[in-house]
This record gives sequence, C-alpha cells and structure tokens, in this order.
Amino acid sequence: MEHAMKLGRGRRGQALLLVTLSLFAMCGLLGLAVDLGWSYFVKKSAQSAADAAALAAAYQALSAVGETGTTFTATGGGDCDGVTGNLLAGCHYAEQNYFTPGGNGGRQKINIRDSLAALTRQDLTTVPPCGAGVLVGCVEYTVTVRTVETIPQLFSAILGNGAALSSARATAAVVQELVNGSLILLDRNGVDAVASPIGVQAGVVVASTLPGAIPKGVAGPIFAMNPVASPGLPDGPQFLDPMRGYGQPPLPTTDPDGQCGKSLCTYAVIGIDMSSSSIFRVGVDGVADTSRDYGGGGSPTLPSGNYVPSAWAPGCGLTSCHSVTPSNQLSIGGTVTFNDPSVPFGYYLFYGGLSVSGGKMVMGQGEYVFIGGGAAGALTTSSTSDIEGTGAILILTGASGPFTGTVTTASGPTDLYPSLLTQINSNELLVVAAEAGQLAFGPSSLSTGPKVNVSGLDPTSSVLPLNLIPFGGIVLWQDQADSTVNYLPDGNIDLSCGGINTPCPKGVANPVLNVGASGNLGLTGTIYQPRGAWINIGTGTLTGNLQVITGAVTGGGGVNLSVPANLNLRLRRRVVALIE
Amino acid sequence: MRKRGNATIEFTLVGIPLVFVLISTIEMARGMWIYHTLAYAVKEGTRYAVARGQNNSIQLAQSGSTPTTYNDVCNAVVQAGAGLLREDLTLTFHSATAADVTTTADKCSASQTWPPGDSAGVIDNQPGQTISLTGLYPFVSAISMFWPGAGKGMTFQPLICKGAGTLCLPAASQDVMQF
Repeated sequence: MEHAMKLGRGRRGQALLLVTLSLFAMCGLLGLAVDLGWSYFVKKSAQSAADAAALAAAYQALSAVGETGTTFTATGGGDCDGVTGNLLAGCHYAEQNYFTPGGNGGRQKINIRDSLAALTRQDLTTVPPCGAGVLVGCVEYTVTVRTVETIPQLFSAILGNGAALSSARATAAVVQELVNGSLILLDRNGVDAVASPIGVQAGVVVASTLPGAIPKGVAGPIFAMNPVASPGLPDGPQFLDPMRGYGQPPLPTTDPDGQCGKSLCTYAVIGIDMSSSSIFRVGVDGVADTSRDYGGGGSPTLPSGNYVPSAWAPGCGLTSCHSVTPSNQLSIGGTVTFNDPSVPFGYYLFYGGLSVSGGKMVMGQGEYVFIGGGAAGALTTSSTSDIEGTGAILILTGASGPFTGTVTTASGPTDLYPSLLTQINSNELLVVAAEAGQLAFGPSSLSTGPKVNVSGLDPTSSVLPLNLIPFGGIVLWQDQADSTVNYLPDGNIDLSCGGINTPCPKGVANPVLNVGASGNLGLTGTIYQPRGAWINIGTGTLTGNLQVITGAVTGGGGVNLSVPANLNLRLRRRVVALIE
Repeated sequence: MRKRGNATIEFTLVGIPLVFVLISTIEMARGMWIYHTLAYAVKEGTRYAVARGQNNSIQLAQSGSTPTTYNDVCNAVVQAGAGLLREDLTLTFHSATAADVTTTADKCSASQTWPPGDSAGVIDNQPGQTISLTGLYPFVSAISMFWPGAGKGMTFQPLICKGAGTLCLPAASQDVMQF
C-alpha cells in the first residue's frame, strides 16, 4: 500500500511535463496550418488582383485607342505608386482586390508593366508581336502585373524562416481574334430568315431579338439565339455587328500617284463600255485632255481613278455635251485590267455603277467602289462574267436619292460617306454626274458563274494602306447608308432615336443585293451587308468560302457557306484576352 | 479501491469514439486538402487551355511553339496540383461540340490538340467557346475501417475509383476560350 502510494507520488507532474512538451508540437502544427492556409489565401487574392489589374489596364488601353485605331503606346510602367494612365486604372482594380502598393503594413507590392514587344510567358512559350504579315495569334499590346505579399511566419519562424512570399502574375493583351460564324444575322427590322436549308460550317450567329429571326433548316451550330441583345446597349452582346464602329472603308485623301493633286484622277469614259471606248483624263474644271486615250479601244489596262460615263466630245462644253443619266451604267464587254503600275494598291471608282456581263474584268489589289446606278444597280454580273482578282474589296454604295442641288454636305445627300463626297467635289464632271441623279443607289445583282474568282483584302499585304487593315478579308461591302436605318457619316448607327434595337429609320426603299448564283459564288472572304439588306438566293444552292454579315437571308434557294481557309481572310475583332 | 479498473473501462468507452473522431478529423482534413489541391489544379489546367488553346497556326509558326495538346493541359494540372499522382488522376476534357475525352493524367495524348478546332467544321478552340475540365481523384480514407462492409468499396465511379473505402473526389472548372 505504502509502495503504491509512493509510486503514485512519483508520477505526479508527469502530465504537466507531457502537456507542456506536446503543446510546443501542437502550437507548431497549429502555426503550420495557419501559415499554409494564410499563404494559400493570399496567393488566391494575389492572383485575383493581378488578373483584375491586367485586364482593366488592357481594356482601358483598348477603349482609348478603339477597335479601329492603329497604334498603341507603351509607357513601360513600374511599381503601382509611380504609374499613370491606364496602368494606374489597373492598379485601382488591384486595390479593389485588397492589393495596394505598400499595403497590409508595407508587405504588399504591385508591379505593372506594359509592352508592345513579344511576350514570353512563365513557361517560356512566346507570343509574337503583331506586325507586317502577322495579325492573328499575336499581341498588339500587353500588360503584365505581378503581385507579391510578404507573409510573416508562425511555424517556420522557429526554424529561422521568418517570412514567406505569396505572389502571382497575370498578363492581359489586346489581340485580334477571329470572329465565329459563317453567317451573322443582324436583322432588327422584322425580316425573317427563311432560306432553307442553310449549311454553315462555322455556324449561324443570330443577333436579333425578333421572333422568326432564327433561320430554318440550319446544318451547323447556332451560336446565339434570341434574345441575346441587351436593348439600348450597342456594345452589350458580343455577337452584334463585328464591323461596328469601323466606318466606311476609306478613300485616299491625296492621289496615290501624285498626278492629280488632292484627289484621284477622273476619267471620262466616252460611251459606256470600258473595254472599247475612248477614255480621257478630265481636269478639275471638267474639260477632258484628249491628248492621251487611256482606253484605246481594246483591252486596256486602266490606272487608279474615278471613272464616269460621259458623252463628252471635243468642242463641247461640259454641261451641254454631258448627257449622263441614271441609266448610264458603265459596262465591261471585253477585257479590262485594273492595275496601276505606279500605285501598287489602286482605287477604282465607278460612277453610275458597272455591269460586267460577258466581259472579263481583271482586278489588281485595290478598292473598287461602285456608286449609284439607280434602277440598273451598282454592280451587275451574269453567269458568263469572268472576274479575277486577289486582294480586292468591292464596295456598293450610292446616295439615297438623286441630287437636286449642289453637291455639298449641306444641301446634297449626307449619306454619301465623307471621303466619297470629297472625291465628287474635287471634279466638275463628277458634280454633274451626281446632279444628274446618277449616284442614287439601287439593287445590285450578282449572278456569278464558274469564272469568277475574287478574294478579299489581304491584311498582310505589304502594299495595303494602314487604314484599310481593319477591313482585311472583306470582299464585298455594301455601304451602311444603303439601309433602312440611318447611319451617321462616320459609319456608326444613328442611335439618337433610341437604342440599338430601335435605331433611327431612314425612310428610303431598301435595295436588295441579289445573289443568284447556283454553285460557287466565286468570292472568298467576307460579304458585309449590315441592316436591311439581304441576300436573295435563287433557286439553286449557293456555296462559298465566305463569312456573311447580313440582315437576314431570304429567298428560295439554299446556302452552303464555309469559312475561308486563309485565316487572314476571316473576320477579326480586337479584344482583350488573358494570355497567361 | 473499488474505483480500480474504472479508468480502463472509461478509457475503453470514451477512447474508441475519441479515436474515431480523431481519425475522422484527420481524414476529413486530408480529404479536403486533396479536394482543394485538385480543384486548384483543375482550375489552373483550364486557365492554361483558355490562354493557349486556340492553337493559332500563325502564332505557332511565328513563335516556334507547338500546339497545345491534351498532355500540355495534363502537365499544367499536375504541376499545379502538388502531390497528385498522374496515374490516379482522371481528367475529362469537355469542349463545345466534340465528344468528351476521359483519360488518366499519365496517358494524355501528346499528339492530339485540345480544344479541337479548325478541322471538319469543329471550332471548339475559338475564343468565346466554353470549355471545361473535370478531375476525379481517389481518396482512400482510413475511416473505412469503421465502416461495415467497406471491403466492397464505396465507389461513386466504380470503373475509376476501385478499392475498399475509396471515395472519388470530383472537381470541375469551366472557362471561356480567350487566346
């Protein structure tokens, strides 16, 4: 008994010792759990802050430059307490995620840098900068954000490691993305898409909120169904007009070959057929220089310029001999080549429209503008037309009605886009043509056969003017003014009457672009017809390597579209993307 | 002296549930650790794919890099998920239109690109398209020793998570293709 009591007395205090010792270990483990947990939490916060800051700074840069601007500038950046502009805006977003320079007791640090150069990711893969010949899969502008926080340690401090680092890095970039969809339907005017069947390899994008906008018999994915639009928000859904805000494809402000000063040279086609008529250059006063016949009567190669049908003859005054009427559509009955040896990228404007029926039209790289034509149409082709061209954009445009006064933006139609008005006002012959009502637009009819082979603007071409790069891939562009809704002179939709779904009406008849081909349309790239215009399919099935942006598809035939294999000919949009 | 042996009985009565609770706590913590590791890893893998998966041919040609494959995404997942064993980690790759692909992380194809695109009308790799990645990881819990009939295995996914007392921890991440 006594022995037992002695034993009991001898064990006293052991628990205290054991608990004390184990408390050290338990506190250590507790500290480890807190250290790791907190580091993990900070790591996530750091990543969120870096993501938000990088995206915000890049968005800010994009909105400042715009989707169509040509240049970004990089300031280099640095720590957040020393940056300005869009980088500072990015830092504010990091702040919203509780990351501030010197924050949390001086333990936080944020570094934000922007660059126009190639980006090397943390895994050493590289993304090239955009430049000549590289437009897709490259970066135009990058913002890289690094967030770091020093974390005091509980557990590992015992082992001499007093602090740990939690850091994150994110890079957002302004990039050019390819736009999805073989067929993008923008109709907001109640025109149902009824063509059936529609085969669309890359899908249909339906941006309309109207009932019946979804085409029937679609073979291919449908990307967005109604309702996808946010009423009143022009930039809300991503599947609105991918070319919105781009305005019209620009014309040069000076004559590229320097022969005619501040505008393109103007040529009078004496007669109608460009392949067989005499073609004289006309001075600003409307008087032709007959010393050189550019047409020459047989298979001419014509330079960059304004072409207008004219009854001009030596000895006649301008107004008395100029007998153009709305029905004087230019035509090509033989072979005509448009290629200006002194200007690698040409501008060819056809006043009164053009008919290529049975002739051969060879198109060099250039912008081809078909103006007016009235009832005859801006561009008319037939199944026997032979049209060849690479890197060409065909623009269908015109005024909403005949001119009744002088051609000024004040009294003439304001729906001709400004650079075209500048051309018209530069030459008296063009003014006369405009006042004769020759420039009123009308329905265009494309009925093409196996000999048509035209591909759109090549944005990687070294001769393409910089201001046309955003229009890369476009092969046929119908003027936005050619619409039942009103467009502003800069090409944007007039939203003063309401939102994007209720734009201001224009109150004019809506010309149709008839595409009556059966078989291959022969165009490669993008057909752009925004609101109100639509393709009127014939009885056969139309095929093409095309992306078509249109109001709606209607008609009796079918359509089978596959996107161009050449990525440069596909629609692109400038967006912000997280690239690491 | 009549209290002799009480401690043993009490310890026995209290100790068994106590040990059960202790093991349960540790196992739950371990399970949550694995789950969070898996969730983070899957999220990182998805991020890797949305930031690189477009596989734009121009970019690849310019940068000299190779297309993003299933294996690249698997590597991104495993690198982010410290301690996850490749042979145990089952990943399901889901994109907009292509059929789902399920594989363990040690057998990811190094030749097939993911997300698929630009062929035969499939454009799952294009920006704006939604992709998702699902991870399954087996968790063998010591709690199963208390579970009657655990020998048969508690399997949610019998083909993947075999074995006694094996739980399959799932984690999924979805994102939109960016670049």
